[in-house]
Amino acid sequence: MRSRSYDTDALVLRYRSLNEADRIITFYTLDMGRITAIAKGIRRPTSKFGGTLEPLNSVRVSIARTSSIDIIQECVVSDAFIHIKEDLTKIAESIYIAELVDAFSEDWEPNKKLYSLLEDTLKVIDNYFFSPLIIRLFEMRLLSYTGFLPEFRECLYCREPLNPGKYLFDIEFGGVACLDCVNNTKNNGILISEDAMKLLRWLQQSADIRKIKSMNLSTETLLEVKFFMNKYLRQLSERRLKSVKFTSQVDLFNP
Amino acid sequence: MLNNYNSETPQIQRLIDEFNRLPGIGVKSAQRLTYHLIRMPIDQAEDLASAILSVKQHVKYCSKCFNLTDKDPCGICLNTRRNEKVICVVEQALDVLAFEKTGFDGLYHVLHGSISPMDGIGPENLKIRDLIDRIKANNIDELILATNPTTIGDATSMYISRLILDDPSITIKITSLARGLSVGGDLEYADQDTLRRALDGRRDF
Repeated sequence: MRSRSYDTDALVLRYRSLNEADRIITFYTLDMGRITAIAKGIRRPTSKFGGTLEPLNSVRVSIARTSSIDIIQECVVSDAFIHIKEDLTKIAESIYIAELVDAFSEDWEPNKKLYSLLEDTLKVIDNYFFSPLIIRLFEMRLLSYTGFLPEFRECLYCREPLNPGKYLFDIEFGGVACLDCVNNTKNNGILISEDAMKLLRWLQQSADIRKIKSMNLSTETLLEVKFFMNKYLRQLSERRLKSVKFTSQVDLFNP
Repeated sequence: MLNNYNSETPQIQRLIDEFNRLPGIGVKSAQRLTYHLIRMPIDQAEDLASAILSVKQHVKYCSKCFNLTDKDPCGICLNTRRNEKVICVVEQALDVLAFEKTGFDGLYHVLHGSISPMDGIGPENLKIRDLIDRIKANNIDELILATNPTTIGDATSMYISRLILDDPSITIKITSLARGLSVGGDLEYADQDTLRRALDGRRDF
């Protein structure tokens, strides 16, 4: 028989309000993957939950099983990532990576690597520094941990090594095609420049988060890789990633 | 809807269905409300029906502060005894009611929500542009950002303050509400963020 309640480490991905004072919270947990549970009375100022279940918090929760939606009994914050929450850019980008985890996970299907990726990335943004490259690295690792790692080394069709130059990425099959194969397959993918491809390969193979701070890349390359990632992730998740727009709106403040 | 919940009488079922469409009201609650109404004296039922219609026919947004009102501008914006140099920015019209109980005598600006990126609600869906235009058109000394003390409420306030700070044509004092422990709350349940802010904001006793 399953026990009547369970404890788990979890990251708060999102919530929505329910009834007069409740909220339904979506967590990403270490042991159980994505789960949802209800926090009763949380919107009252005197609620025992207080601010413990705010999005992006790292928490330890006790949850009671019920025949319908599970009920949160207790919640203790392990890390509220307070420096993220004091900075608009960091909030916007962190909410975006939380949305990615939500989009690329299933209820009750644990993925410990994905959990650690989200937690570690939030820790870096909170304690050390923020750079758009941290988000690109997150995206690439998310693709790797969920089985969607793109092919950048050899042609998707003929398996020959790719010649330097322009690359055409086939978004449906998740890889780059060489020019011969492109002509034969009516491939209508995304064109990738040489510089962007270098960065994508670096992110995929040799990326070291400690080197990001000293890297000097052109705005065009960064934007190209951001655009590419967004398009590929959107195709894979089969949904519009809604928080992307807000990250761009906040970017306008950081010329 | 489940068939075995359906009433034999179409009039009753219609009302149950209508109640069921309201937020937070399930089939069972809808049935209870409907049977309560059936037992209610006719004049009370008429009062309720006319109150619902009257709200829909007469209540609109104030063109200045976007609070709900039956006349435009609203009573608060028209009241000359209020301090029109101070604007308190809130998320919902209900927040205005809460502030009115405190005796606050400035004006309001209702955003009608908060920025919620995952739900696709961005600044363009709120009355933020109207707020900036209002500040530019009037002589305002202080803007109190009174969004909810949540991550997205804070993000909304930060976004507004960045818009204002990036606009050299606006000089205004921007403040936010104090953050800390709630009256009647329990210290042992306070989370670290709230407690830290309460410590930061401590004052002479």
